[in-house]
Amino acid sequence: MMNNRREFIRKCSLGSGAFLLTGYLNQLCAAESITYRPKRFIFFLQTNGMYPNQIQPPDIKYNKRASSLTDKSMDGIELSESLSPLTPFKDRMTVIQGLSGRICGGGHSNDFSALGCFPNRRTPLGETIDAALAKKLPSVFSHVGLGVVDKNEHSVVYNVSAWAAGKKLPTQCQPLNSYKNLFGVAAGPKERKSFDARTNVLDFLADDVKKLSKEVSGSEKEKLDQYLDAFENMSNRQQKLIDASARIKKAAPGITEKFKSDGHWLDRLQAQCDNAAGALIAGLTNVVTLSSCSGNAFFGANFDGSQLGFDAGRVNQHGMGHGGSFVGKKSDELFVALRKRHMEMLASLLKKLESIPEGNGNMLDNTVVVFTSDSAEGHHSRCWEWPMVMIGSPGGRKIPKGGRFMQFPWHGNKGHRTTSNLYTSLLHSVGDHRSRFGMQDLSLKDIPQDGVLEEIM
Amino acid sequence: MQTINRSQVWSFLMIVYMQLSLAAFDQSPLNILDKYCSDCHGQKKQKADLNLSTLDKDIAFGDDFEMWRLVYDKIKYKEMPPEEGDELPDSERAKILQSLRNGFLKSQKAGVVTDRKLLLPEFGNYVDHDELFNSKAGTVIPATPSIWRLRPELYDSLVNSIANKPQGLSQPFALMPGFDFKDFSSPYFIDEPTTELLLKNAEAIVENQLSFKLDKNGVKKGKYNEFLAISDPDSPVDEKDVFNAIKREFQLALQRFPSNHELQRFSALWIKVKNDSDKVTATKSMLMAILMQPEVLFRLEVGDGKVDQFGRFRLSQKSIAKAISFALGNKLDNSLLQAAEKRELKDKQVLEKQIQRLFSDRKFQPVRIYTFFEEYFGYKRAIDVFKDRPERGVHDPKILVSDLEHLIKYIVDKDENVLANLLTTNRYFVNYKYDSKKKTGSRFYTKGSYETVYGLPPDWKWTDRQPVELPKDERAGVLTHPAWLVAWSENFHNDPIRRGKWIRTRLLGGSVPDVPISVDAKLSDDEKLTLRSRLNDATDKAKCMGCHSKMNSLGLPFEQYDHYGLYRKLELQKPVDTSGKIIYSDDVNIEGNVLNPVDLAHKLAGSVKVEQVFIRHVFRFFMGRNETLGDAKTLQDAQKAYRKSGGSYKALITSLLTSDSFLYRTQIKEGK
Repeated sequence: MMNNRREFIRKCSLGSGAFLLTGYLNQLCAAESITYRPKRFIFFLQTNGMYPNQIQPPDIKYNKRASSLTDKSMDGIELSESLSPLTPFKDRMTVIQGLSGRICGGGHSNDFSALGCFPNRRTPLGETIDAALAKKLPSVFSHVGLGVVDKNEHSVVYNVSAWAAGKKLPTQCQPLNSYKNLFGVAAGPKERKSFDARTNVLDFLADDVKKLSKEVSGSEKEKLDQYLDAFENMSNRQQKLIDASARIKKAAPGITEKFKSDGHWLDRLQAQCDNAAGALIAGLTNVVTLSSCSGNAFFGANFDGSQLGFDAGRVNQHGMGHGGSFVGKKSDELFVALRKRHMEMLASLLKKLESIPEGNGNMLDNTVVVFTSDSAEGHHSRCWEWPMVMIGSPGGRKIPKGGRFMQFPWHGNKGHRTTSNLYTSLLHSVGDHRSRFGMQDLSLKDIPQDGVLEEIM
Repeated sequence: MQTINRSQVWSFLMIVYMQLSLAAFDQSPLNILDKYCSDCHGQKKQKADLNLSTLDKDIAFGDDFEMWRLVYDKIKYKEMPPEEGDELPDSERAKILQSLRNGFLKSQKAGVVTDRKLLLPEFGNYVDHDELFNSKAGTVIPATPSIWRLRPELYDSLVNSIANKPQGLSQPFALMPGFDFKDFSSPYFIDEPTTELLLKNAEAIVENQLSFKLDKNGVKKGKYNEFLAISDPDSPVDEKDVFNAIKREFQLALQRFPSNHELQRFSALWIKVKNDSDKVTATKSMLMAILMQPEVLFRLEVGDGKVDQFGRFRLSQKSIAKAISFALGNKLDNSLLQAAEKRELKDKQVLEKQIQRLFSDRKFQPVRIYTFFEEYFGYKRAIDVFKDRPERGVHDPKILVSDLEHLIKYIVDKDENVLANLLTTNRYFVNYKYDSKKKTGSRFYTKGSYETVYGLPPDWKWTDRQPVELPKDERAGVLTHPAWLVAWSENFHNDPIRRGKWIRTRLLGGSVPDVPISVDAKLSDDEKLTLRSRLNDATDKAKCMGCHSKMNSLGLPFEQYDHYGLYRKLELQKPVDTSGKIIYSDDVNIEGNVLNPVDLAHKLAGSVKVEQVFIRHVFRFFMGRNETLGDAKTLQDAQKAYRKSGGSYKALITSLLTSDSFLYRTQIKEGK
């Protein structure tokens, strides 16, 4: 089992044909000396499927049941309509087709398994990739989950991220609440007083919880310990936030109408993207997961046609998934327009990161973004393929001018790879050299499933 | 000198542990398996393709983990050895199960039934049914003291009782997804993001409490003058003022007065923050600290009485008032609280009277007696199952759900033979909603004929004289109601597996393991074949039938209806096959073939075992925990109460809520 490049080199050098590989090994060893490591990750999940044909560059033929790898530059090739807002970032971009995720099971949403590579049981059977990366990239907030669902009464949902089996991570759904959580310490005198009141309460309450904890045992005691942990973690964080308040003030986004809780979820999602950018720029976290109506409980979100420049009126995403049209716009057109809107939001986030200097370049140089859907390849996903758009290069490998297009061989064909291989690659890029992330797809009997996507590392 | 670092020590310990776990596998249970099972599952014969002698003996880390899980279930639920084989004595059965279970727990694999999982409602049936109902029951051994996070409705009710419509609050508490009982004590805790929200809410509530207006004399007036007195920058404040504010907030949030120690602690907080900041921040911090007390956010059933001869103590009077109120409704009943303050909630008769009063108290609204059926039957899932518009017209699951809820309410309110009636009635509410202003029924959907889904003709004239009698050979109770059928269906077809699983677990008290992860469970899409034949093709392999034999034959009779719940006689132009079979029921009176879903429902309704399993579910819902063998007497008494009262659901609930299982807790011994 090949765990990393260094191990690969060691094993090769022990083989009988090692001398034939000398030149290649030297090249790899040289690459080893590059110490590039991404500093931060963004996952962006849009529900209701990422249809492969809608992200395929029009000038590259989509080969659904590919028997071999296609790996080519997109130089001179236009992006598909739905991805077009990302054109300014095309040189940093890889469009990835053909990875499968059959272990997740499919359905309207794969919930936690989309980022976890395990069977979907509505409750996480293990950690998700964003959490696994957060463990390697600690910060004031280990992980920040921001998102929206269409019903604005939901403040927090548990939909796509998990710290460990059974331990779900929250997605904050109200931009104003998220703003106060992240930037409250530096948001003006009123917010600061509120911040101080909270600090006093946190410090005071720990004793009360400890006292009660003595009266119970076992799992009941653990419940109180969780409550106590929450106080202690939050209390510790308060000081870190105070220390960083000047930086936070500078990075906090301006509050707009879009932050209001009664606004449309597409507007609120834009506000959450602003919060995400602010949190990353302020150094409050290194891993952000943005989710747009993701999860089985939320995928059917309605939106108004006017939000996408069409006639006003209710459009139901579930209906779209079943081929429903709206005022002369076919399902496909609605999907493309909706994804394009999401890409515009992503582009605005990337632009902000690009504008902040870091080292010899800017923050975006050290950021990896994965955009995909919790519903894999369609409304009723089967996970035979799981289209992805990646910005940045986890292994530091140079992306060809104009961006890169990759189509992996179809499920079961030689050379086929899974989403687990991509996530394993991300982990290797931050120094977690496990052989596999998540669970194996047992139907891929003769296909090796461990290791990274060598092509991107 | 060579030193050993910590990771090397761990590696060494892990290797030793692995070796020990292999070596320590007790061979004697395997010998028992060999004795009772090898004739059919050994070297000579391999029924169901199973040869126990070739399974990997390393249960936790070997290759046959999933197969051992199935073996465990078969033995546990007495499906194996079969009746015609040698009888496996209970003592030997227990040895095998314990040994297998030890292996499962060591594996730490997902899906393994760990002790913690046994606390969840879907694992309630793991407790031996015979021991619960057919053993001589001794003194009840209740649960240990528990801490039960408020459910969302109770949090809302609390907030509304202490502030005047505060703005900007978010519901901090989520419930388990899925369709099992929601408000269980064990799975919920308060984590960091929830605490964040609770703090924000506490702040909003306190700001609401501190809001005031100026009266015509220019004097500040608020709802809570005690709070105004200590936060007003212009007024002098003494210790008594601070104590009064603390007392008021305690009364509002905790329904009790603070102890002297608490008065001192909270006033010290006020003084410290006032000295560091100002009076408003001090008052806010102090009131928020009261609202964030665990006693406010959790139901504390820790008791404060004397320990009896059995090592148990009774819940405090206030805890009993809260427990009964929260079991039946979504708010604390003031009369019950007052009775608790007078220490009147002692005798069983007093409690029975109070419970009877609450059943009919319109102000209190005992809504949870109906919520039980919503969560038990899982019919609201119908709203989440998307279906295309059927050829005959509209499909609106909300109407179906409303109709079924009216039917359940009708039967529950009559309170006679409740379970049997729920499983057999052919009198349904049809396209019905209740108009509370006119105090009469009215037609729910008026734009066309919605009633056809019940098999009524398109020209059927709607009436408010409901329920309506439907043909006896077409409908029998909840399980043949379109709402339940749709709830347990897929987008484009029926779901005999889930329907079968529902009956197996909720009525027959059995269990079906989760789908093993290696199974790619997909039915063929061949539209020329019936669903029954596609299901049989997909599951008739021996390794599948281990689980599917528990479900398929119970779910397939419902092929009598299409996936919208419409009665049909033909499927693919041929008479629809509605046959099924009740097996592994542990009730000889109902075992055997069934002709159709109506026949199935009537047989189930006549079973004593089914009645007992229903009582177990009622117990779980109202206790908020799974039953244990220590609750046998409570369950047996509950069944007696149900039978004696002619099948009164309210008598059943009353029996449970006045039982020792509900009112007592077992003392935690030192060191445990």
